[in-house]
Amino acid sequence: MSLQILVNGIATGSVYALIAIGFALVFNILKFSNFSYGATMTVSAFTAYFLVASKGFGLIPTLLVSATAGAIVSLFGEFVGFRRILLNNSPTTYFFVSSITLATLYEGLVTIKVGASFFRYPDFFSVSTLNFAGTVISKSDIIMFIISAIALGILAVIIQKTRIGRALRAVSFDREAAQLMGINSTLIIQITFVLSGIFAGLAGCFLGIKYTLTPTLGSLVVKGFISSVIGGLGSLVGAVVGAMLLGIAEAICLKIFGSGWATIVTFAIMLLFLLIRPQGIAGSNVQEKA
Amino acid sequence: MKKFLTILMCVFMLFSVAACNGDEGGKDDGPIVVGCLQDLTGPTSSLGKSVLKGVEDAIADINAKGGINGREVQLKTYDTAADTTEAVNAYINAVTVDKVHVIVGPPIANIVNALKATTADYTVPMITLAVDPKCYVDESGKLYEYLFCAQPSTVTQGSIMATYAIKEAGIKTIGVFYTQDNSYSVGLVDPFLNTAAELGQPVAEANIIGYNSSETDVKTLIQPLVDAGVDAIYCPNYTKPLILIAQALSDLGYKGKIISGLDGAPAFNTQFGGDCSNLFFINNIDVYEEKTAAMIASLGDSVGAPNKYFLGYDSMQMLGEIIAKVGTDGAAIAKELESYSYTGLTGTITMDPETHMPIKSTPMFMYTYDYQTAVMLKKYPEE
Repeated sequence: MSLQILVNGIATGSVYALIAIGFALVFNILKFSNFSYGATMTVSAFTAYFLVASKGFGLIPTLLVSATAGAIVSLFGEFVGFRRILLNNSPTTYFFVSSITLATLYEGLVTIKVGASFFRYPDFFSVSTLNFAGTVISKSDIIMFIISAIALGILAVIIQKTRIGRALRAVSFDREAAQLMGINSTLIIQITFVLSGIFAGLAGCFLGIKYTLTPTLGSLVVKGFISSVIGGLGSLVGAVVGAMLLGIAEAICLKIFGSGWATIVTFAIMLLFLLIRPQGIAGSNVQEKA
Repeated sequence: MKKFLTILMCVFMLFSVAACNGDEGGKDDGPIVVGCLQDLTGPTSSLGKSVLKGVEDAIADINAKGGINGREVQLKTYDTAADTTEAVNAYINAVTVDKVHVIVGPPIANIVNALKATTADYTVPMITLAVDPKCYVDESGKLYEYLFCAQPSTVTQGSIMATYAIKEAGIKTIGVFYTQDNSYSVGLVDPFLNTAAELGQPVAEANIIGYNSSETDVKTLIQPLVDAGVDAIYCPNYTKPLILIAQALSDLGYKGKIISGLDGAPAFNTQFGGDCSNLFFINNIDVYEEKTAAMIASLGDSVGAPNKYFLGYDSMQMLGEIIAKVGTDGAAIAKELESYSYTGLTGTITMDPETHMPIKSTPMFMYTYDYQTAVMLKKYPEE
């Protein structure tokens, strides 16, 4: 039975990881929690639904369009909501306010378009579940896990092995010093938002498949935020670990405490982390940066 | 970091072991496990708790008679908190971890709409009380095999309300004020409008107002209907918005009637608190029927929405009958349920295999209030 809980937890955690990683990417660079990320997920998921999925195209085109839409929306958000604040060296609070404003704007636009109705992606898979020795696994969960893992792997390679990745890490540690070393920090920030938007698109699409498409889909960004806190704000590895732990913790809590209490326990875990280990699992390295 | 992560993993393993303990469902000879997936803490919790109480009492009655084919019936409760994500997670937990055999689902269309595709992934029948027919079909109109409804659809209910308003209450001009982000509310609009048009009293386009549930200024939104001087305003909304609407209309000095859906039924009266005499509402139960009346009296204040209690009770008893007949195989239960006919506290529920909802002959009742006391006006279909 515990294997089933673990499977359910990992399936949920893999989607949380996509949310958390996009969230952590921006925090890493600009040191603020970008709450417009959730609404970016919503816009991307709906864009893919209307342009591709509802016209009978498959999962991969839907994911590609959603990721592209996420990148565009995220880049637009960077330009409209954050660029001027950044150039003016304004306080971090301004970033936060701007991100909330953008989120409200995006969500409002989606609500006007879809009338707050419920939409579902068409069934992408002919066989829906697989059964391994009594453990039931949804095929969509397996596909989501694999694609999430591939996306995270590609991101890891970009960050660790490429010039852009090195520049991104340099900007995240000290933007001014990186600028003095000849790195175009504005461009790097734009690239970060594009990467973050791609993850928002993937996460939005997966959340739409797993749950349903509504204008409030983006409220699940809270799960990414909790994952980031558990993992250590700004740490990419921590975000993934935190997301997986959160997914598994939720599955265990559902079993032990029931669904009503599971959410409460999840938030209690986050508060516990903030109390006893505010730097999260990733530890002191992140605390120094933050 | 490594040390901390190790400690954390140990804690998780301990909790995982704890999670392993408990009853296991899914066995062919063990107890029959029934999941009840309801909003128990969210804004529609009075409905969810009433359904749950009905299911609990039905299971208690079944077990008191020796269970189903000698097998005890166990209840597992899941809270959706009226949130789609919570609902899907709880559903997956119910069917994969607790391995429930059947589920009694919520009376909330938005939640069932969010769950419907997930039900196709697992062979666990779920009978809900969401009346929007869209809850049971996919985009192409194909029925979800394991999803059913135990009360008449919005098409039936909307049509009954329009028929009563025009033919019995003699209402000439009608306004419509509905929640456009609520599947249940939207689903009740067209059947009402279509029937009104068929009966020769079409509703003017200008007198149809849709609004989002997030709007707070109900007075301004509904003012045009009051100004238009309509005889009645059709408000197929959930209980909480309906209370706000009734209050706003009272404040605006509106003297006409309000026609509501199921959510005008008690506990609307107690939650509104004032004179409800200008409200017509539809209901599933005949409060004057002897057994129903006795049960309502015995329930006292323990149930907020009696009609949901009876629907929960009947849904569980119907599932009990079917399991006794075909066993716990999900596919067999679903197949039997498709055209099953069950006579319970809410009348005879005969399922339509074309819609997975009861056919039109399943009784519904129009009511009003004498101040705070529900008064039955007419039974549909007419005998």
